[in-house]
Amino acid sequence: MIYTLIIDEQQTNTVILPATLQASRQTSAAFGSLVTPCRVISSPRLTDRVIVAHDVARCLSIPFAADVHVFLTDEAVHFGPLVGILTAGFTKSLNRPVGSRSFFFAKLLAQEKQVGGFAFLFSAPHIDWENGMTNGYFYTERGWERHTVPLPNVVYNRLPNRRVEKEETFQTMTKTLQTTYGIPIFNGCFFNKWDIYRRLSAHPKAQPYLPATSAHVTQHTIEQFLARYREAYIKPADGSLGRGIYHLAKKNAYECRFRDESGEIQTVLFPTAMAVWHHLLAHTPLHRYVIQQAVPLLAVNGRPADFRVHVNKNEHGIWQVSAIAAKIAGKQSITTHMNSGGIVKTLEEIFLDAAEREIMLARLSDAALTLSRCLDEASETLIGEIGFDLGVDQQGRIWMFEANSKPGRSIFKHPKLKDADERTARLPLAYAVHLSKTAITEPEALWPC
Amino acid sequence: MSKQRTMAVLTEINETSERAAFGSIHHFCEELAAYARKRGLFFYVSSPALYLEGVGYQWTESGWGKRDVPSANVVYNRLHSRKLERSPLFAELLARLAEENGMMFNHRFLHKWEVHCHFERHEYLHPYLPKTALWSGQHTLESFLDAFPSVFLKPIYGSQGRGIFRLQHSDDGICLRHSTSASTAAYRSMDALASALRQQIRTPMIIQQGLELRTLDGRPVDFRLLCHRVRHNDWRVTSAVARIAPPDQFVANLARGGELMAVNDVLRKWHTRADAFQQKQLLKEIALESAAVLASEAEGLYGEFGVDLAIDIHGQPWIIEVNTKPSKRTDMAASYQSVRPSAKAIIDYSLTLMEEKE
Repeated sequence: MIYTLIIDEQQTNTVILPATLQASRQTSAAFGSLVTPCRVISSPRLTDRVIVAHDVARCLSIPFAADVHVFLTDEAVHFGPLVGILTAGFTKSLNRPVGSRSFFFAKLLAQEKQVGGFAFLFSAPHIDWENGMTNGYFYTERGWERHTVPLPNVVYNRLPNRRVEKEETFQTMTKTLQTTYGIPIFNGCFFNKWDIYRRLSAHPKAQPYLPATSAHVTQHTIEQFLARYREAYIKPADGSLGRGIYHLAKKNAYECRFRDESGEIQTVLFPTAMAVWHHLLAHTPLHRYVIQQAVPLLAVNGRPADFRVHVNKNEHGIWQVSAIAAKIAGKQSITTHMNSGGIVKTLEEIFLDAAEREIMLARLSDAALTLSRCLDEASETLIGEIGFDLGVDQQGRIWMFEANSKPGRSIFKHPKLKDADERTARLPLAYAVHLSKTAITEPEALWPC
Repeated sequence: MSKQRTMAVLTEINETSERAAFGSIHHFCEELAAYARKRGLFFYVSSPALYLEGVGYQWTESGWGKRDVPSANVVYNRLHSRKLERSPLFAELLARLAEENGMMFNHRFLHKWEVHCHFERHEYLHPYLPKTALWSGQHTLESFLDAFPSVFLKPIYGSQGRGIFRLQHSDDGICLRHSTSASTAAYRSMDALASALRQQIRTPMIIQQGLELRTLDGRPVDFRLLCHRVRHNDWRVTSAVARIAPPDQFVANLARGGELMAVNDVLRKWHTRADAFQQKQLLKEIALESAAVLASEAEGLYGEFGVDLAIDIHGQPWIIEVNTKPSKRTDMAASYQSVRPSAKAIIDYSLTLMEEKE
């Protein structure tokens, strides 16, 4: 239930709640990390409104009136939630606070109207640790505004890349927020391909979806993978956007295809696996690579296709599929990534037969949901969204190639994925509400000892 | 089996003179033809009536020649008459296209109120949308004049800055000005003003919050960004110019005698280098978001929009209007021989549409 929070200029030291909320004995009001003592009254005349006296609102640093959730503990009435979206790369321009990503975040924050609560953008330097406050960027009807608010109830991590994520400032900050303040952070980090594989392969339900993968790229594993599977990929464990990927195939010779510095696709033939290994070694530090079995993919118009299945935890903290699209590889391309000429199609566009489409939708959804639950169980951090790259082989079996904790959004340029675009922007905020409620009303569920 | 890829431009053709003339887009069509040839595309210009007869004009070294043409895979709609777009002839043409599996962009003219309604559904665009309502007489007038120091009334089908009223609070009451006549009148009472407007308003209008625009030498400035679709809902800005209103005018349209300037030159007069950069990027991003939202909300296919933006004295950008038949006067080719980016973008998008279907 979402309530309209009204800041009352006449009342003092009081909050008034609808009688339906069944408040009892509470003696304070809270917003984010701030709590202030006040009188809590119930009124049968209020149904979908909560009234907060102006002095209470000021004490709590509530930035403006909005639609909110109300969470009750024995002591306090919590308004909010206050959701901090952590990112980096702020500019000096308030019109465009995070440069070219400003509209992406504006669209995300605009979803808060439907979800309820206050969401804002911030980074490490915006936190005032002395006073336990933060300077947040809010997106309102008037555009971007800065307000000083308490520390948030939850943090949604949208740091732009692995490099920033590894910086000392962010590591220390996220640790302090979690351990000192008990603030849950979701999508805490970028996934590492090998780590994901290791965690999932320990899970019997996930195993059937996993192509053989090894973190040891050696002459021996190259030989072994090619003998067994004929084709394999070598890819950076921390890579994204399909960069730095090698495709190996054993025909008469060992054929190695990759994209060179200028973006051109090169094919090089080697007589032995040893020669391949020496070649790769000369170009790249192989310890940060994985080798993975290549799967002969289902083809659409003669080109290999795979699927991006986007999953999110919803307002109940339950995984749901939020978007599915097919990615069709560009001509001569090594992968289906859009920057290699890949194109996006909806399931409707590639499976013209409705029955076939329904089956494919059900199987892809089932695989993605199973994998999400397994990954969740095997992970120590809170995960709120995952973008899976799934493939269907020529026998119809489903494989998982990648799991991305910060899935790209280029598929959403497809006009038919407009609703999915909004859904995937809204769900992280909906999950943040769920997580806030849990953190406020049953923190022991989040922080098992 | 494989038919040659064919593209047609649909526009009003003046055939009375000895040579065919395509009005304001005549030279633009030559550029389209030149670039289409380069891309191996069969290209012609036709009108709804001629298209239904299988006739079009093809560009050759000796000029535009009338001949029988095949039906087009993609039609670029540059009809300027809204009456023609609403005619049975146009409906017949749409039916023919559907039957032959052809595609058409831009589907049809979008008027100012439709455009506003499409934008309004997207919360994140609200900060850039001037408050707007459909004109319904004295009541809307009063509420807008209460809320804003100045208010505009614009015909929803208007173009080129024609037929716009500006209402402004002044010491003599409310001052009424019209964009195409020099007259100014002041009204003491709301009743008198409303009745004066009722007499002058003959077409549906929107009423819009007036903005205190940034000026150059006291002349209001707006920005025209031409946006073209690349594929799916991915758009690019192909040209951007600033338009400076003529002295004593309150609209910057070129048709009203406005003057063109480079966007950077204007922004640098107002901002530091760093702020000008952010502001220019923001203008582009707002234009691209506007194009993407309209293309996904409006019925039919769109591949080109002219987005008019302005910046107020606080540095806040605003969406003024979007043109579905953008003028080709703001985006001139570097020389007579060359093909301007917007012509290339139209052909490239047409080819992308064909490829996606193949």
